[in-house]
Order: sequence, then C-alpha cells, then structure tokens
Amino acid sequence: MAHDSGLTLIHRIARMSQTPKPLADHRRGWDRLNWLSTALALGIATLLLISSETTTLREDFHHRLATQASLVAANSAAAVVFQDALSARDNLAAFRHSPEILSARIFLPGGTLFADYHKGGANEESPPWARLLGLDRIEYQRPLRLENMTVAEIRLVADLEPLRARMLGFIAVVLGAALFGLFIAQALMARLRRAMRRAEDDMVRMAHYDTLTGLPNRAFFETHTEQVLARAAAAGQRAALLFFDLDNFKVVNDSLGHPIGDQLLKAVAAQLGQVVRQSDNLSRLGGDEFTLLIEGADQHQASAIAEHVIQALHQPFPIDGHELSIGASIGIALYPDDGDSVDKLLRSADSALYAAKAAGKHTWRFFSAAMDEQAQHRLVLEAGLHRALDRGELRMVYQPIVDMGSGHLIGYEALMRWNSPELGEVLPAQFIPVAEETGLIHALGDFALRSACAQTRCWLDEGRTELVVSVNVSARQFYGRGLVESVRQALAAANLPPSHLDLEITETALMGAEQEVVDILNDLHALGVSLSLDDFGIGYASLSQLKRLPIHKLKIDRNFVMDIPQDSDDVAITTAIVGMAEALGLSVVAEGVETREQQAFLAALGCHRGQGYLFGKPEPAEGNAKAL
Amino acid sequence: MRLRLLRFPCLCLMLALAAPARAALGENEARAAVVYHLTLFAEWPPGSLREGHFNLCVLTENENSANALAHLNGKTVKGARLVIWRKHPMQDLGACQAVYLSEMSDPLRDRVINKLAGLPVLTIANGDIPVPGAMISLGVAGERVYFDIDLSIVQRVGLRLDAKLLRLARSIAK
Repeated sequence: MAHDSGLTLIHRIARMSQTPKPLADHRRGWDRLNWLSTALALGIATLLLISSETTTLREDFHHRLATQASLVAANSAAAVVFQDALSARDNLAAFRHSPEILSARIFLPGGTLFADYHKGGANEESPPWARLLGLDRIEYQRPLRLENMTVAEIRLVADLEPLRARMLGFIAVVLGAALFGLFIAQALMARLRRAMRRAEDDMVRMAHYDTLTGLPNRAFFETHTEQVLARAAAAGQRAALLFFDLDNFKVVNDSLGHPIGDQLLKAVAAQLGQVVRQSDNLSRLGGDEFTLLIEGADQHQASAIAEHVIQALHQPFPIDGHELSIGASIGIALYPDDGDSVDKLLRSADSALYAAKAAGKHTWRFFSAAMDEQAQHRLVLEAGLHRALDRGELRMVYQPIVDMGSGHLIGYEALMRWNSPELGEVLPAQFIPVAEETGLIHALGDFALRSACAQTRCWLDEGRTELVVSVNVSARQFYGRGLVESVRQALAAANLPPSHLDLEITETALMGAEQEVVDILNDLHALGVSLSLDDFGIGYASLSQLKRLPIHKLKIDRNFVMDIPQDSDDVAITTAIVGMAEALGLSVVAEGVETREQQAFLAALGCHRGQGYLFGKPEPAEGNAKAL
Repeated sequence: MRLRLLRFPCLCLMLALAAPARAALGENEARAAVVYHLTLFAEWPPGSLREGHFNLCVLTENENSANALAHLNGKTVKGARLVIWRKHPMQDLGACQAVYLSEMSDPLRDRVINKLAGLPVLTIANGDIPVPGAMISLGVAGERVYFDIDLSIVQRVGLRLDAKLLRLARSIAK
C-alpha cells in the first residue's frame, strides 16, 4: 500500500529518538567540554591580564625610580664637585623615605665610591618564585652631569616587593573575577542544559504522540502492543486489534483541503476518545488510519466494540460550516489466532479492513485466511493495471443516449473495459479505485479522452454529425496534472470540434467546490466542451453550486429510475430534479432506463433524454455502428 | 656666622681616603677647580651675562696660580665659553662676571674690592679667614679647600647662590 513507506519512515524516526542512554552520555560529554572550554578561555584571559598588568606595573616602578634618582642626582651635584661626601650621604639618606630602595651609591668617574646609602634593618630575602620570574629586585643607574660633563654616576638597587604585593593583589582580584565568571557561566549553562533537556523530552513525546490529535502514534502503538502481546502470551489471554479508517476521508481532504481534513481528524479523535474505554489503547497510525487494541477481548466483545465505533462515527461532523458524513470501516484481528506478532496482527487487521470496505463500507469484518488471498488479488490487480495500458488491454465501449420522445440516437457515454489475460474481464468498479489510489487514473483518463475523441471523429466523418460523446472524469483528475490541457490535446489530436465532447463529473469532484475546481470547470467550459453532473441525487451537490458552476446537464442516478413509477418517493425525487433542472435551464438525462413504462413516465415528466438497456448496452464502436 | 667645624675633619678624611687622585693635585689646581665650580652654582641678574662668553678675571702675583687657572680656558659656564683674563689691579674690571683675587697685598686687594662694590661681579678671594668685602673666601686646610660666604654682599648686588652650595659652605655671613 502506498502509505506504508511513509509510515515506516515516521516509525524509524520515532525509533531513533527513543534511544536516551547514548544521548545522556553524549550530553555529559558536551557538558564537560563546555566547562573545560570556558575555564580555558577564562584562564587565558587571566594570564594575559596579569602579564599586561605586570608590564605596566614594572614600567611605573622604573619610572618612579628614575624620578627619584634624578632628584637625588640634582641635589648631590654640588656635594660631588665640592668633594663633600658627607653632604652627598645626607642627600642619599633621603631614600630612607622610600622603603623599596635597598641601596643607593654615587661613584666618581673611574669607579671610585664617593657616597653610599643602605637600607637599615634586616633585608628580607625575596621569595624564590620572585627571583625565578625576575621580580626580586631592580637596578637602576644614571649619570650625574654638570655643564655637560659627567661628574659622577648614581646607582640604585630597589626591592620589587611593593610591585609584587600589588601584583598578588591584582592576581587575587582577577582570579576572583574569573572564578565568579566561571560560576556565572556554569549557572547559565545549567539553565541552557535544562532547556535542552526539556526540548529533548518534548521531542521524545513528539516521537510517541501524534501532534494533530494528541493520540499515541505508530511508534507508541508498536511498543505498547508488543508489551500487551507479551502479557497476553504469559497469561494465556486473547487480545483484539481493531484497525479502521474513515470511508470518505480522501474525498474530504481532496475537495475541501487539508486544513478541513485535519479538523475532521481532530473531531474524530475526540469522538473516539469518548466511546473507547480508558484501558483500551487508541492510536493514530497516520493519515486516517486508527487502531484500537483491546486486552483480553474475545470475538464477541471485539465485534460489539467495532459496532459501537461505527455508530459513533456515523453521525455527521460539523466542520467549518460543512456537515461531513464520513463513516468508518473496521478490520478486526485476534491474538493469537490471526497473528502472534505486532506486524502479523496489523497485516491481518489490514486485510480484514479491506474486506470490510469491499463489503460496502460502514461495516466491520473479522480476519479470515481467505482475506490474505483477496489482498493478494488486489496486488495482482495493481501490477496488472500498470501493464494494461502498454499491452493494449484497455478499450472503450459506448452506450447509446437517446431522445426518449423521438427515439433518435443523440450520443453515447464512453465507458472503459479491461480485458486482462490473467484476470479476465475486470469491472471498472474494481480497477478504477486501484487506479485512483496509485495515480494511474491520469494515464487512464488520457486514454479514455483520446480514444473517445478519435471514435467520435470517425462517426462525424461517417456523416453522423449530431452525435455528442460523454467521457467520465474522475474526481482525482482534478488534482495534480492539468486536466484542461489533457482535454485540449485529445481534441486537437482527433481534430474534433469541442461541441461534440461532453465530460461527466461526479458530485464528489464538486464537493466544497474549491476555487481550483471552479477554475478548471470554467476553463473547460471556455474550451467549448459541455459538462454533465453524473449520478445526480445521491451525493452532496447543492443547488447554489449548480447555479454558479458552468454545468449543462444532470444525469439522474439509476437508483431513482429503477423503481418508478411504482415507488412514490423515487417519483417525487425524480419529479423534483426534472423541475429544478428545467428552472435552471439544464437538460436532464435519465440513467438505467429499462422499460417502456419508465420511458413514457420520464418523457411525460419532461425528461427527454435517456440511457439504459432499453436503448442499448455498452458495446464496442463497431457493434454500435452495426446496430444502426 | 655659623661654623661647621665638626664636619671639616670628616670631609678631609673622606677626601684623603676616597679620592686620592684629586688629592694628588697641587693646591693651586685645587683652588682653580673650586673657583670654576663656584661659578656653576651662582646666578647673575638678567642682562649681566654676555652672550657666548663668561669672563673670569684673575688678579694674582703667583704665576703658578695664574697657570692653573689658565687651564680652565674653554670650559663652559652656564652654557657660555669660559675665558680667563689675567688683570692688573689698576685695570678696568667692569667686563668681568667673576673676579678671583689671589695672592696680593691687603691694601691693593681692598682697593679692588671697593672698586667692584655694587657691581654684579662675583668676587672670590683667598683667605683662611673670611676676607672683608669678598663674597666668597677660599681657605685651605691640608689638601682640602673650604669656603666662607658673605651672603649680604652677594644679595646686595643682585647675585644669587644655589642653596646646595650654601649647604657646603664652612660659614655663611648674612
């Protein structure tokens, strides 16, 4: 089935995000790395700051030393030239106010010591790290000049203790700031981590729950079902799996658009939530497919619940101004009889669902071994249809449409037939749904248009210039590829005037009459072909739609024609349709006319055109030609 | 007048120990060096210094002293080139910025000093005790040259002496 691959993908993604343990390890690794990189960055910044500050402090210190030395030098010049060493020593003694100066000495040219000063008290040894870093002491010397002559040299040795003290203070502040920064960064990262964890938890939840309906999704369903089956196996109990989809959901989605379809799914989920028990696991597998797993249920209980669900979904859902009647079909598989694994059980339920749909929808079916064969048959059908076009297994047959007053032939409805070498004659009711599901409908539609146009051309060439041929157009052909272009090409290829082509559209194609569909209909009308509304009376078409759409013809469904004039309801409906068509200026064609009585009744009512076995069965073109 | 007798022997001792090269110079050379250095620590009133030259006039009858001073020729004082002039006591001394009175008779010396009274000329005279009227008197004790300053005379003619120099004087008369 086409949707299976999509679901499998979702399933895989869900599986991937279900692995929290390696995720947590990964998370811790990142945390550590974050911490390290922050610490490293702060460490580097701290080192740079400290080294820059050291350089600045050293320069400051040197500058202060130079200032002091030049002051003492200026004061000592006279003492030097007048040889007053005592006075010079007095000058140097001023350094006692600068505790960092360890010694100051004045040397005469030639290296003779003239005066000196040494700091009193025990000189503390610098710590070894200071010596290692060159931060123990600093020496400074400058010449003492008078009238451009160097009369002496002053040499200072200073202890870098004050610088070291300021440095240590600075380092303490910077390290404190760095640690504070690290603390702040850690706090921020912790918040970030919490947010990430929440996001991850959300992801895990999203991986297990359907965001649209809030129901558990396929991943959750599989895990849960595995557990339930394991429990049932251990306890020797049974379990029932109900697999269902909505009968008309595709039509709603295609005609009213996805937003309406989504709202409908929500409403359905809400409705189901009210009818199923809390202990039963209701999941949405995707699209319009739901499952209900019932622990410990036997055949009797399962069918009762299925009936319950069908009744619950039978009422119309009011969505956005539309009354949507959808209904559901249910396939039921029992554990362990119909499958002992989740996969097998789901496959069996799917086959049963298909059988329920084939049985006319709005119903439920238990799985039986024969269904596997039916599912197999459908696959064969699908594969055969793919080849049918290329192999020329498809052909068109034509059923006459006559003027019931005069009995004159006025046209044909073109119908498709498939004669498969493997399957024999396959009815459109069997293969058209398959073609619609697989997208082959576009190729089939093209084939029908081209064949019908070519055949009509032949009839025109034979001189039967009054004929109009009707071709059925599937609702699916309105979506996707260009229907208008396809019609134009078919007409051009056969060189057929458009007035000889009529397109029959089912009511479902018009449902909601989205602008897109209206545009296509207007384009077809502009092309010159006429448009008929097929199977009128059983579907959803409203009078207001009829009025604003370029529809020329109504075809009354055979179900109403079948029992007239005996059935008074059908008579009333048919009368109303004909009257309404007359009022709107539409012509009417009755389908399924089989008796003279019906013909007379309809003609008297004002329905002048008819189609049915009374006038001729659908036959190949040659047969029709012969009949005339 | 304030005497700094206590410091004196110490200075001599230190000089003898620490600067033997200086000590080897003769007395005349030592005096000449001191005379030169004294000019470096004096300030003349604006306009009294001639551009480019600093004239130091020497009045002495001692040829050795004159020679020792002559060696100072070409040194700089206040950025100006030092020129040593040998002068006779009777000569005009108005162009001199500094006058050094070496060995000469007291009356002659007094006459010269009188003649310079009131002029912005730094007067330096030899004398173990302060020479009356001279701004700075140079004395010798052993190998050490000391000096006394009469600050009142200095200030009267508008000259100024550096405080660092005053601190080194043996005595200062105010």
